[in-house]
Amino acid sequence: MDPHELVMTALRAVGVYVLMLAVIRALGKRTVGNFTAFDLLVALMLGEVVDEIVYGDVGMAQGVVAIAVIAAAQYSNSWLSYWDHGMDRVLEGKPTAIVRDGALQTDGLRQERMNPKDALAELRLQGVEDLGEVRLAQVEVDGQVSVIRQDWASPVQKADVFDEAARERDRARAGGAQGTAPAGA
Amino acid sequence: MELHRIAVRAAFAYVVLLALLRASGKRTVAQGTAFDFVLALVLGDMVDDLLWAEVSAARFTVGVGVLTLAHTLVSAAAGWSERVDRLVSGTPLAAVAHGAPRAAALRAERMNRHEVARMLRQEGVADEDWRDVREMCVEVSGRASVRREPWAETPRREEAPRLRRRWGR
Repeated sequence: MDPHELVMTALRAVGVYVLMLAVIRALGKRTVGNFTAFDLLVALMLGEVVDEIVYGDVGMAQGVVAIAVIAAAQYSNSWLSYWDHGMDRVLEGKPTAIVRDGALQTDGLRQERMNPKDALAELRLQGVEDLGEVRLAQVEVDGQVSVIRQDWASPVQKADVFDEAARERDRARAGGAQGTAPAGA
Repeated sequence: MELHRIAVRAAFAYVVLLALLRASGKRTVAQGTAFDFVLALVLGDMVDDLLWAEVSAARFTVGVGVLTLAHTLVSAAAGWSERVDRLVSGTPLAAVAHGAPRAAALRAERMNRHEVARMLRQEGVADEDWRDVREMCVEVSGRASVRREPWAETPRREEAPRLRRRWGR
């Protein structure tokens, strides 16, 4: 119980706090723990390094180097994924369809090592009562399941029931070429 | 073997962390930003060194205490000052406006259209229905929020009288 050591621990904790804040803000929205399964792992890595620094098991300089390299790798990774030359498919993977037009896709399920029960549980969480409602369900690169419903199972829109809203919709659809995701998205 | 000591230290760590989190307020490490998440991981990681007696209880308490205190102060400052809040949490990113991705804004966050498409799918917007979207924001937590064009919104209860009139009831 060396008071000097306690003060040093406190100072290191403050230093580490500022360092982590800077790193995470520098990485931006596409940051640790938010996007893909690997981002989660990067967050865990950073966390493991940091506690050793607070306790002084590794020096501040050594810790800073480790954190800076992990952060730089994560930053480069995000640029490689951004430049759409197929690297995002390698680094992040691509979505796997598990339901198409109400039918479970056996190959997709096998690829994600899900059984039909897991798939149905995911769909229930998204409010799906019957497989028939689903046009497309995919396991996305962050591991979450996205569900696109059949047209008839989608919530009603104002354009479906009000004439003036329908006119606005038609005007918007006639107006621009925009409104669709890029091919292969 | 000093099993009973490990048991005592585990209980001690549990109580210290519980007390710190309760004292700092529930939103301190649970606001859902990436930084909150990493900080929670760090606090958890700091326990194991205590359990195996690699650090003293005093140093553990000082370490987790200072980290939590720093975060509480910063969160409080972010509550008072918009500038501090922007500095520590960032700002929401308007990623899609009127069905079109905002390329420059997305580039700044190194997000491409595939990511936008994924986030929209996760909100139930199919790849061919982007024109339904008036605005999609990536919030500071990294999650997407979607506002639809007025004509693509679901009718609300306040419009029920109009609907009833329309169908003659």
